[in-house]
Amino acid sequence: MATNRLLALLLVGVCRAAWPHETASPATCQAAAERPAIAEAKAALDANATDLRLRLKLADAWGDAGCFGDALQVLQGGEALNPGNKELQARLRVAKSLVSEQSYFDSMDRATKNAALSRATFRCAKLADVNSCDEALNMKPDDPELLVAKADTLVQLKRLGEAIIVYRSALPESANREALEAKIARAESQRQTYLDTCETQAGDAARRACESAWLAGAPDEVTVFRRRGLLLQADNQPSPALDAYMAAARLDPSDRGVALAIVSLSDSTGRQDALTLAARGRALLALGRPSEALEPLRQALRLAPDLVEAKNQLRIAKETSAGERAGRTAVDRIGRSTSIKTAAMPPLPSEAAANAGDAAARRYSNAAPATRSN
Amino acid sequence: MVHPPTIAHVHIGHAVTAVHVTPGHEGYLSVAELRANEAYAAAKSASAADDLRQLKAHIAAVLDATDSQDNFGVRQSVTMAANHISFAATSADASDNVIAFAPTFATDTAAVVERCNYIDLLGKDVASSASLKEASVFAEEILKLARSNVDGSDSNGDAAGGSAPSKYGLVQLRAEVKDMLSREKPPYRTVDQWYLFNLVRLPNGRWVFDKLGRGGTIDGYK
Repeated sequence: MATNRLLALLLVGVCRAAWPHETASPATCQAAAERPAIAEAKAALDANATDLRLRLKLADAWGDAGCFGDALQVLQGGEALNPGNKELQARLRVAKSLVSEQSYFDSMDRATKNAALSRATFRCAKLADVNSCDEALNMKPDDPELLVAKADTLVQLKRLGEAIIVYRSALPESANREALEAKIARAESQRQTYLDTCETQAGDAARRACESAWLAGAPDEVTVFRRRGLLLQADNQPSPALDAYMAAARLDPSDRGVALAIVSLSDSTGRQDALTLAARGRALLALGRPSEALEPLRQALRLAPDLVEAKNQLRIAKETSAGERAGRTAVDRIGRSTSIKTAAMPPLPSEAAANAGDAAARRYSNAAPATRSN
Repeated sequence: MVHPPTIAHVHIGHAVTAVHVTPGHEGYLSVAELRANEAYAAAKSASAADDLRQLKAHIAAVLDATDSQDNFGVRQSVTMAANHISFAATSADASDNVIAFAPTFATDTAAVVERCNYIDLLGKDVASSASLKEASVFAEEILKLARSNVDGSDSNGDAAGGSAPSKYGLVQLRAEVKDMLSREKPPYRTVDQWYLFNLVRLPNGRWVFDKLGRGGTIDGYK
């Protein structure tokens, strides 16, 4: 591209000595009309439209500003008044050439961009290189053919859930809806197979199946994350397992099993990043242990003061643990006076308790269901 | 009495007949055709290669023929051809025919330039590839592009290549120039080498023939 410009600019240098090389944008040229050199030259020509010298001066002023289209218009305006004038004809030739050069530069710019797009599209379609698909889509966003190519690539890579989302995004602009819907149906069927494997099998195959089946926003998304966490944990990969559980907890904060896993794995991995600490705090809240949640949430906010969710959780934890302490004090007082041993008080009703479902709402009681003993 | 050619025709002569700076003093368009054929031949060898090292060597030859500043690659030569036709259009003695043709021709070279850019990118992918299978996929694409640079592209399934400027190869660009020359009045005649090699630009911007015959080496004109 640079070479093209250099080569083409040879022409500019040959045909024009004084004017700058770069063409100004239409907006710049509109603003340039206010420049004294242009405004004054225009006023002078308006006062004496037949004066060729004034016309050439105004054209030069426009040319100096890089506004070759405007310069050309001024010169063309003098053709009828100065038929056969050699200087005017020479200036007109140069101005026309400069205007047409802009179109040439534009075509060379397009040639460079199109080549990069062709390469990314080729790598996407032929080499199943999903990064190249993204690169192509950056250059041509929402292009239905590119979206389908990316989705096809994701299918090849067995990332069915992601593929379905991308196929769906291509639907509104698709020229062949029927074919695209058939692709979606095939991908959904394959995803279901992977989902079954994810939920029922064990080991690497099951883990890979969970990855293939993951579909953001699907009702089974939380199941996939939870199952993935379990499989990774079983495969002794605590850190990725923790990530999977954290993803599950974001979708369903009330899941006690997930909350317990997060507390356990954040301990065993020793991870102290803001997101893990926030997840640990939220898990402890979900488990009805608000006073323990305070510290990890405070740490998370020290590391990432903008974590809105951690801020909310901390507020809830403070309220809940204050209530818990007040309750304990009262119970202790009663306990000391009556010598009655009492289990820990449940957390006070709060947003956390509501989110945490049965974990936070559970009350201890001597009344046992028929099938259970306390 | 023999009249000297017009300045516009001398510039056109640099594009189609001869110029002192190219290998063999060929005109820029001729050099572009020659190099495009070399690139196509090397691309054919690359796509037939069954060894990664050989394939890479052939693709390196394709790249040299396609995009080389020092060795007049297709991209550089076709751009210079367009530039010289534009020089012709800005000469005081240019016909309306030349003036109208120059910007069209310059824009129509974009398809070849775009393929050259694409070949260059894919060539770099080949150079960094560690797999014969992967490199062969690139080589096949490069072969199609190199062929299209010669004959025009039929990527949209047309029977004949180069049916529109976006599909042009050098065959179609040459035909465009030929058509333009056939419309010239007075007629275009192949310009004598002395004029081709001794056109110089004066500091005041005027083009003249260097009577001392210094071979066009003054004032950096190429």
